[in-house]
This record gives sequence, structure tokens and C-alpha cells, in this order.
Amino acid sequence: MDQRVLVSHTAPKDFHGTHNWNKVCSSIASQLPLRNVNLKSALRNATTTVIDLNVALVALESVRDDGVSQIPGSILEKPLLHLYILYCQDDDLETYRTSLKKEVKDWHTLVTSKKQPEWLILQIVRPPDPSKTQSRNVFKFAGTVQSKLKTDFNTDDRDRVVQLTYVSDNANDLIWAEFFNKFKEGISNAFANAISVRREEVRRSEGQQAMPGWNFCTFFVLKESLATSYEGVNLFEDALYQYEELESLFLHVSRERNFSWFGALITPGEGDDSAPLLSISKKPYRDLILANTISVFDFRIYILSRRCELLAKMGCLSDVPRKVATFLGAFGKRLFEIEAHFPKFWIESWIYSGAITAVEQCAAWQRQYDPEAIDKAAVDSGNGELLDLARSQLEVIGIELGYLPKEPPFSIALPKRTRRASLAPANITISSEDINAILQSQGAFYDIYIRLTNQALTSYAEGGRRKFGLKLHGALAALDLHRGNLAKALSTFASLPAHYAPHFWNSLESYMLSRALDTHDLSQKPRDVEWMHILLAFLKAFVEHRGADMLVPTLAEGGKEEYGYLEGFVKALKEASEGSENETKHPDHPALSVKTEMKAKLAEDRDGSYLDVTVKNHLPCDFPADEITVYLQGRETDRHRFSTTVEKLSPGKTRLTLFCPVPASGLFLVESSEIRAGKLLLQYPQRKTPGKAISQHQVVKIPPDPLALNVRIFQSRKVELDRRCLSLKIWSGRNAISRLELKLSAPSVTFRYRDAVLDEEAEKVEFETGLTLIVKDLGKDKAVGFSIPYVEAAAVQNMRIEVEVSYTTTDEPDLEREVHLVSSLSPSLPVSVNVQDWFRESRLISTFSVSSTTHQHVRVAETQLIVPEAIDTIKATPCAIRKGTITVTPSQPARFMFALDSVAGPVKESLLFIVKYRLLREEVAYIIEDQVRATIDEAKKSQDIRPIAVANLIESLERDSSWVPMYNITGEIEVPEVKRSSTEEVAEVVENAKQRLLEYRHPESPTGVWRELRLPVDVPVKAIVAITSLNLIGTPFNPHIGPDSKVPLYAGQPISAELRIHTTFRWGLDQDTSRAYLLNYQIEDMTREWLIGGLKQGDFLAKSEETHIVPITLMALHHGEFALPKIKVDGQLGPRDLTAGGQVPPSVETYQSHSAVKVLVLPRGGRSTFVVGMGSEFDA
Amino acid sequence: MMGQCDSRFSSRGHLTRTTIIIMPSTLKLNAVAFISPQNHPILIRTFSKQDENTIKYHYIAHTSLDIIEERANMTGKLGDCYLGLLYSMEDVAVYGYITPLKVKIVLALALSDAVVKDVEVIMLFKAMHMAYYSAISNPFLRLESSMDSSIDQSPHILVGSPKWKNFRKRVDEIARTLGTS
Repeated sequence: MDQRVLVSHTAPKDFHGTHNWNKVCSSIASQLPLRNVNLKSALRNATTTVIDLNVALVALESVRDDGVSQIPGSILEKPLLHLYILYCQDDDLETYRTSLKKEVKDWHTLVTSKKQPEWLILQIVRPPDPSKTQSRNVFKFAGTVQSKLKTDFNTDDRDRVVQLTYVSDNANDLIWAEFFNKFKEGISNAFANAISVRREEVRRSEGQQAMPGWNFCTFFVLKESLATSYEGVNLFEDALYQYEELESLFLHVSRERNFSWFGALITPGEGDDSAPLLSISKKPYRDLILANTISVFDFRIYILSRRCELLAKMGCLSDVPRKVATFLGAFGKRLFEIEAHFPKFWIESWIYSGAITAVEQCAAWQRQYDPEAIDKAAVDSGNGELLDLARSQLEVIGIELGYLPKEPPFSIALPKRTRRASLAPANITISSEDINAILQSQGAFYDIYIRLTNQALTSYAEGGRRKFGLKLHGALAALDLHRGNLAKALSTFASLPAHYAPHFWNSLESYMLSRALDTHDLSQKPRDVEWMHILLAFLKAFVEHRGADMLVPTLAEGGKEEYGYLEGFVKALKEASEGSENETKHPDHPALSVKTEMKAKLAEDRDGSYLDVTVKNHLPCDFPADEITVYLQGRETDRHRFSTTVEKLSPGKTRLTLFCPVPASGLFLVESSEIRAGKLLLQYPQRKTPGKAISQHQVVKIPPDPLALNVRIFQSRKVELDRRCLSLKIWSGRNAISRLELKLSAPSVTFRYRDAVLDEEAEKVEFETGLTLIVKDLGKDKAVGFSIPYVEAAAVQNMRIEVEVSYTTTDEPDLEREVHLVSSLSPSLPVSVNVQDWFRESRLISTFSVSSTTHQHVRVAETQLIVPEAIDTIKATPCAIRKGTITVTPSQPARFMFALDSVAGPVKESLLFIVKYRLLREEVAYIIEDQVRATIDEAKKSQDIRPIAVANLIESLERDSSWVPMYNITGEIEVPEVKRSSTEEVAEVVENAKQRLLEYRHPESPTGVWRELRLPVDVPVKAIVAITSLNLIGTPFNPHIGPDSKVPLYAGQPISAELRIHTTFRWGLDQDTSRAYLLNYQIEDMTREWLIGGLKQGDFLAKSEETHIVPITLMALHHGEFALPKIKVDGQLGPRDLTAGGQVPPSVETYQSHSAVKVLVLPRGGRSTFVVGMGSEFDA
Repeated sequence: MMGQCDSRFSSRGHLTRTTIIIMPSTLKLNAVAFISPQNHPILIRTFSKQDENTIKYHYIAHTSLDIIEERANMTGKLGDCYLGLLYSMEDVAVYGYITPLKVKIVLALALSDAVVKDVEVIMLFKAMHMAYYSAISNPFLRLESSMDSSIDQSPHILVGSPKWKNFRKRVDEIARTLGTS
């Protein structure tokens, strides 16, 4: 088909064929094809710029005349534009008039007589010769050839005369610009005109449809001419639209069963089934159409091919495969209606070959029209679809031939119809090589099928069609399964579900899984862990997809049979899991779910608690579980296991009660749940998912069990600072314990169980120590206490002790309960003791100040300062007057004073200071415990309620502290309003105990259990104790003043005095009394009171038990009562000591024996008389 | 007379819904699939008789996702819900539609040799979308989805579960209406 726009050219006879003429023609041809021509597109109803337009120049004489053919051809078959080229200088009017004008006139007449007169005159001139410029101007008035041409031929507004100054070297393209503008304008006008004329014809013909004699084929050819016209000028969209209109019109016409123009739906010819579908050259379609003998089959293929080619040219190659697939599917369906006319599988062969050849054609077109492969992915995926279509034809054939089983996925393609027997004449045979090969042998079928599937897979992969690929993999696996390649099929089936699972595509996932299971069974492989995983995945998919359409054939049929398939598997699961060696854990399987209650119940009759759970079985059959377990996690690392055994879990909800024998109380987090079936563990951990709120976590509350075994750890009652020890109290509660093993652990602490001592106050019991502490045969409601020494590697503020207790009771000898407790122990004491010492000559006064280190009130019963018996050099005497218990509050420490009399020599060993104390709250707790016990005894009730009553009372005391001051003084405990007790019995006991507590008084001497703090106290050491005294000796009037004399002292009066410094080395360590120390004394300056005369300061040699005397004179500066100056005595290094080097001055304590002495100074008495002249003489 | 008028008006809500559904059509609906924005299947409903072919429509719905993705990437910005013919396979033509909230609807129509008008397919899609929309508007769906936290399902998924019959009913009704007209 001619794809060019024709332009005729004519020239004057003398110019035509000359060398110049040829040059002009070739110059014009060199500018072709035309660029950017604006053409009117009917579809868009606007002008479209065609980038490249092929134009061919032909001589006017060679153009055929009208009416040669009756067949409407493309409008491009005739020249759209007529061009007249003449060569005439502009000033050569003479030549023009004489010869040229006539020739142009003749041409013009000829051209304008044609249907679409569009013409253009090109006048070629030489570049003006500069030498002839002058002469040119002379003739200018006569006009130019160009203007003549214009006036002679321009009949309408448009200017169709172009002048071109031709330069032979042709260097400048610009000179052509005006010409080509006109040229393009001419072409676009001519095209628009021609098209509109043709469209009018088409419209007329279309309007005559209803009239007799209207022929679709004739109309088709007419309309197709429009399409080819458009195609010729590269307006592919318009061309395509024509074909689309034609096709829809055809369908419309064919729907009306107006088939008179077509011989038959199809007249199958030899090789029709394998001919390349998209080739328009395989049959003389146009002639068939013109001859009215084309069949619908050929006609449709022709339209499809044309459309696809146009699409390819448009750059929409990706649409082609879809168009083809739709056509093959739809038209194939039409063909099946007359199936009997073909040999068996002829239609399948046609679709198969059509799809395959279309893929090949697409590849060819891609190379031709889209070499850069912009659209490659889309084309590839389209090709994949086509190959898939071909593949499904093979499946149809395969099933019918028995090569493939009639079940999904192969049967998907199977049309919903029954095949009719072929009545086809023998001359039509299947010509497709592939199909023939398939019909011959089964092996060829499989080869071709696999090859084609792999081709489709490659295409899909390149087109990015993952999910299509999965489907094909499924088909390949099914083929493997059918052919007995079980291992390969199994591995494919087992891997496919993972691709469907992420999007919850359960239907396909479960289908694949069920196939995998079936394959597994077929291959008779042992039911191993892998099988279990597949089955679990299948059950998961089943549960999640519950009730929706299952694709598994055995399940889809419904009814009770439905679950037989499943039940068999579930039973087999148990068997398989029991047979496996290792435990198989599977988290979060949705087949079962465990829901725990919020609150656990106490077992009441034994230690431990019950937890109710609801297990929901989502499967429609029993699940053979063995054990249900729920793990609770506490605040610390403790973990509690609630469990119960079951036989099976019926479908739906099952309520179960789990038991945990360990006594524990508080709030616990549900850590995980487990359902065990054989070696299979279905776990449901409650993870901390970042996205979810905390409230999603389930918490279980276990109420405290007052009668459960209890182990408490506290600071040992007797505290000796160099020997660390802790007390441990085990209370058996309701249990008669046959054996109890206890182990303590704390970071950087070693416990010495071997040195553990049983507390005397508590019950006696048999026990063993070793690496742990083992207690045997502890009766009900018995408490034993131990003191266990320990060694700390590093001093810590707060010791965190983990206690692991395992015990068995006589009632349940087989059950060993393990309790894990965490207790924190503060090694710091609730009291602190400070000592202050005062030295006298032979006596030392020590003040022990006991204060509370915490906010707690401490009751101190007694303090003692004990001198070891071996020491006889010192005697300690308490100075305490008050008897009874003293309360130490955080703000008010208590002081205890002791006098130590040195009998002889220094004391090197330390004394022991003992404080017996207890916390106020401990004391009160003991009292309450005692009183409640007494109350219950009196009422003759069971002691079981005691802990509850005590807890009740203590709780109310804790709420209000107003009873404390009264208690401190009298011992009366006024319990504030008690909260209502749980039972009448307890309430009564509490009420009675309250009365008793009101009447309670402090005992005369401290009773009960007291803590003891033993502090080693060193006797302080002072090398020298200097006792200073200042003795007044006499005044000038009274030279001798006795010690108690009442001699008045007056201000300003000199008083002679002596300073005595007595030194003793008694408190020093140095036994050498002969040694002398150089000391320095200094009298305090009291410049406001005393004027001191004499040696105010000086050095002296001090010896043991010697006195140094310095005479001084004092003068009181004013009257009043004031103290005497203090004396300061310091040690000094003597010259001898200095040479010895490195010695410190001896420690000196000065005792001012006169420090309490005050002196009364009287004002100075006496009188003075002064006579003053009054000056009376002058007055007289 | 008055009484009759009243009764007609009282069911106005119902009438408006059916006007969407009733349309002249040559389409034959084989199956419809609703797929959530996360590509989870919400409902796959088949209207053909052969049971074993159900898997075919599951395959179709699943594979359509590939093409919907391609189309949505190409034309998604234009905001056009209708994605046109996705592909044709064997005897079905598969059409796609994506709602503004990215719920995908896939229709499997019986492949016929007649020209299928996009307008008709769009009408059908809109009816399906409407059915989904009214089903998802059920406030009780959300209640259930928050309660059953062990299987984290959005209301999208739940609406297709057999527990909530309304959605299925509506979809079936559309298919029936299409079949009879």
C-alpha cells in the first residue's frame, strides 16, 4: 500500500528535463520528508502535527486519470498538490508574456479541473547580478514576473505563487522556507478537502444501510480507504478509529444475522489453524472482500491484524497481546458453536497457533517500531498472557487425551460444554506441527507443555507479573505430581503457600497446602516434622478461612463428611508428634486460643492457686491435646506454671481449671500459654508488640494466701558489727512439711549455712546444713528461725536476697513445690550510736547518744557498757537514773552516760556497748500478735484466723498514727476504726483484741524479743591530760585569800594568783612515766574583763603526775561577775623530738578545773573631795 | 388510593438502591472479587455452577492484582477508578476497579464476541462498590474487630466473612439482577 503523499510537478517544455530542472528537483527531494505538517484529525477535531510526512514528487503526466478503478482507494493515490516550476528572471517579462504564460495557463486549467484543485507555482530566479542593478530599477515600473503571475493566477485570497532565489550551491536552507510553508499549507488543505469529501461519501453509504442493495463489503472498502488515507499521513489514531467503527458496525450487522454478504462463518482451508494470525499477507484479504467471498473468520482476522499493526505503529504495542487474547477467546467461543465442522482440536490448534504467532509478530514489531524497548515490560506480560492462553489449549487437549487428570489446575481452562463429534470432511486437517506432535505422543505433549509454561514464566518474570508466575508454578507442580515426580512436586507445593500467605490469600494457600499434604501421602514419606509443619500451616489456613469457600475438594462438598478429611489429619498429627524425637514448637497457631481469667482462686486446702482458662478450638473436630499450660510472670524474674492435663479439646470452647502448687500472690503478667500434644507444643506468647497499648496485656491477680508456707528474712536481732548475720523465719502455715530445702543467693554475698544456728525462742526442729539448708518434719503452724552468718564482698546499701525454697508436704509426698522469693535486706541499722568523751584526772565520762537513722520510732530497753572481765584496770559505772524503755524518735535521740574510772594504767582492749532495742512497729506487732492469740485462746477458736485478724489490726494502725504518743507513755494502744472484716468470726476476734489492747500497759521491765546491737568501744587515749586551775592568792589588802573566803575584790585592784597545771599520763599508752614532754600554755585574753600580769604564756616540761605553777597578777577591769580566763595547753615538739624526726606533738586534753568558777568583782569604794573656788569675793 | 401512595413512599430507600442495580445489559457475571487495600481478599464470590472452577476465580482475583498494580501506577494519579479490561483468559474477561480508598474490585465477565461497553461495566462496578460501601458502614463490624484482637483483622476483611451475611446478599442480588435483565 502506498504510504506516500503524491505531489505532481510540471514545468515548461524548455525547462523540463534540463540540467537545471534536475537540480531543482533533487533540491526539493532533498528537503523531504516534510517535517511538522499540520493535518486535521477528525478524531480529535483539531489539527495534529505530523512529525514526518513522506512525500513523493511525480510528473503530472504519470498520474492516472479519474475513473480508472471503481474501487475507492486511498485518497493518497492521487496527487494532493500540483506544482508548476518555472525558471524565469523577475525582470524578464518578455519571455513570460511570449511563451511561459500560455504554458502555465494550460497547466492551470488542467489542474483546476480536477476534483481537489490544490496547486502551487514556483518561480525560480537567479540571484540578482549586482552589475545589473541599475538596469533593473529602470524596468521596475513595468512590474515583475512574480507580480504578473500573481495577478494572472491567484484567483482567491490565497497566494499560490512562490519565488525562490536559487543558489546553485544550495547551502542555505532558509531560502526554501517560504516555499515549503506554502507547500505544507497546500498539502494540508488538499488533505482536509479530500478527507471531508471521502467522509461525506462514507456517511452517505452508512446511511443507506437499510436500503436494499447495500453491501457491507462495499461499504467496508470505502471506509477502509479512509483508514488507509489516515495511515498514509501517519494519523494512526484516526486510522485505528475507522477500524474500530468498522468492527462494531460489523458486530452490529452480524448480530442482526445479516450474513448475506459473507459466504460462511468460516470456510476452513488447509493450514488455517496454524497460519500466522497477525499477518495480512497470508491471504488476499482485500480481493476476498471485494469479491464478497470473505468469510467472517477471515474478515475478523483481517480487521484484527490491521488494528494490531496500527497499534504497533502508534507505539501502543502493549495493547496488541491483550487485543489478540480477547479476540482468540471470544472468536474461539464462536467457533466452538460450529465445532462439528472442524476436525477434533482444530479450534484449539487455531488458538494455540494464533497466540504463538502473535507473540512472534509482537517481537517483530517491537524490533521495528519500538527498538528502544520502552514498553517492553508491558509487552512481555501481554505475551505471557498469550502464551498462557496457548498453554491452556494444551491443557484442554491434554485432558481429553488423558495426558492430564481432569482436575484443577488443569481443568480451569476446560470450557463448560460438551464436545460434539466431528463431522468434518477429511480434507481439513490439523496443520500445526506442535499439535500434531502432541496428538502423536504423550512425551511430546509434556515437553511442549513444559516448554511453553517456562516460556510464559519467562515472559511473566520480565513483565513483572509475579502472581501469574505463581499460578504457572502451581501448574508445573501439579504436572510433576501427575507424572510421579513426587519429590519435586512436594517441594514446589510446600514452597508456594509462603507466597500466598502474606496477603491472607488463604484459599489458594490452603489449596497448595492440601496438595502438598496429598503429595506427601502419595510419596509415602514418613510423617516427619516437615509434614507436621505443612499440616499446621494447612490447619492455620483452614481456621482463618473458616466458612468461606474452601478450594480443597474434600472439604468443599460440605456436610459431615467435610471434617473426616481434617480429623484424620489432626489424629495423624498427634501420632506423628509422639513419634518425633524433638519437641516441635509452633507459635501462635490460630486453630486454638487460650483465654485466661483475670483472677486466680486460692486452693484453700493446700498451697497453690487455681486459674480458670477458656480454650477455644476453632477446628471442627477434636484436637488431641495432652496438657494446657499457662505461664505467669511476676514483677521479679519469678515465673509460675499453671497447668492441667486433658484428653482432647472438643470443637468450641472448653473451660478448664489450671493449678499451680506454688504459693505466690500479687499481680502477674500472662507470659505465654502452651498446648501440648505429644511432642508438639503450640505456644501463644504474649509479646510486647511495640504498636499495641499496654492494656492489651493480660494480667492475673492471685490473692495472698495467709496460710501458705512463708519464709521471711530480716536483720538478725543481735548485731555485732564485725559479724554479719541474718535471721530467717520459716512458717509452715497449713502444711505439715516432710522436707524443705532452702537456698539463699545474693550478689557478692556468701552465706555460711554450716554456721547456721537455730533460734532458741522458736520451735525445735531437725535440720541439716551443707550447701543448702534442709529442714525436716516441720509440723503445721510451726515457725522456726535460723541465724545464718554471711560474708559480704562489698558493702552494699541494700541487699537483694533471692530465696529458693522447695518443699514437700506429708499430704502430697510426690509434689515438690518450688517457691521463689525475693527479699530485700538493708544491712544498715535502724539506730546509730555516737560517743563523746570527757577526761578528768582519773575518770572518763562517756556519753552514748542513740538516734534513729530512719523515720521509724525505736524503743530502747537498756544500754550497757561492759568491761571485759579480764580487765581490772578500769571500772565502768552507768549514770542512768531512769528505768524503763525509752522511745527514740528521729528528731529526739537518747543519751546514756557512763563513768569510767581508771584504776591503773592504760586499757588496750575494747569495751562492749550493748543497746537492746526494737522498732516501735515490731513491738506493737508482737503485742498485737500476743493479744490476738490470747483472745482466740480465750474464745477457744482455731488459730487459723489469727493472721487475718492481726493483719486487720495492723492495717488500721498504719492508717492513723494518733495512738503513738499515748502508747509511748502508757502502753495503751487505741486502735482506730477497723475496716470491716471478711467474716463474723474474725470481726469478733478483732473487736475483743481491740479491747485488750486498750487495757494493755507497758510492763515494768522490758519483755519480749529485743534486738541487740553490740558495739565494741575503745577506751579513748590521751597522751597527756592537763588539769589547769587558776587560784586567787591575795589582794594588796588581804594577802591570803582562802579557798572559800569572802574577801571582796574590787575592780582595778591587783589580785595575785597562781596558775597550776597538773599533768597526768594516765590515759596515755606510754607506760614510761619518767618521760617529760615540752608543753606550752596560754592564758586566754579576756581584754574586756581581765588585765593579766605575769607570764601569760610559756613553755614548761610536763612530767607525769606533776604540777607546774606560774604566778600571775590579775586585775579586774570593771565590776561584775565573770569567769576566770581559760588556759590552753598544747603539746610542743621539743628540740630532742625534732631531731628524732617525724613525731607528732603528743595529744593533750585540757581540763579546766576552774571553768565553772566565777568571780564577783565589786566596784571600787572610797571618796575624793575637791574644793572649788566659788568667786564670791568678786561679787562683793 | 392514598394508602397505596404512602406504602410506595415508605420504601423509598430501597428503591434508590435498586435503581443503581437495574440496567439493561448483555453482561454475564461469572465472579466478583473484593480485595482490600493491603491486597487481602475480602470476598470472592462466584456465580457459575461448577464448583471446582472456584479456584479459577481465586486465581483470577490473585493474578489481577499484578495488572491492577501496573495500571494504578500508570493511571493512578488521574484518579480514575475504572481500570478497564485487565486481561482475558480462556472464556472470561477480567475487569478491574479501584475505589478511592484502594479497595480493588475485580469482575470476571463471560467472554463474548460482542462489544462490551465500558459504561455498562462501570455501572456494574459502581453497584458493587455501593454494596461494599453500605456493608462496610455497619458500625458493628468495628466493634468485633477491636474485640477479637488475637487475629488482627480490619473491618475490610471481616465484612466478607460468612458471619456478616449482608454483604454477600447484596452482591448476590446484583448478580441476580444482572442475570435476569
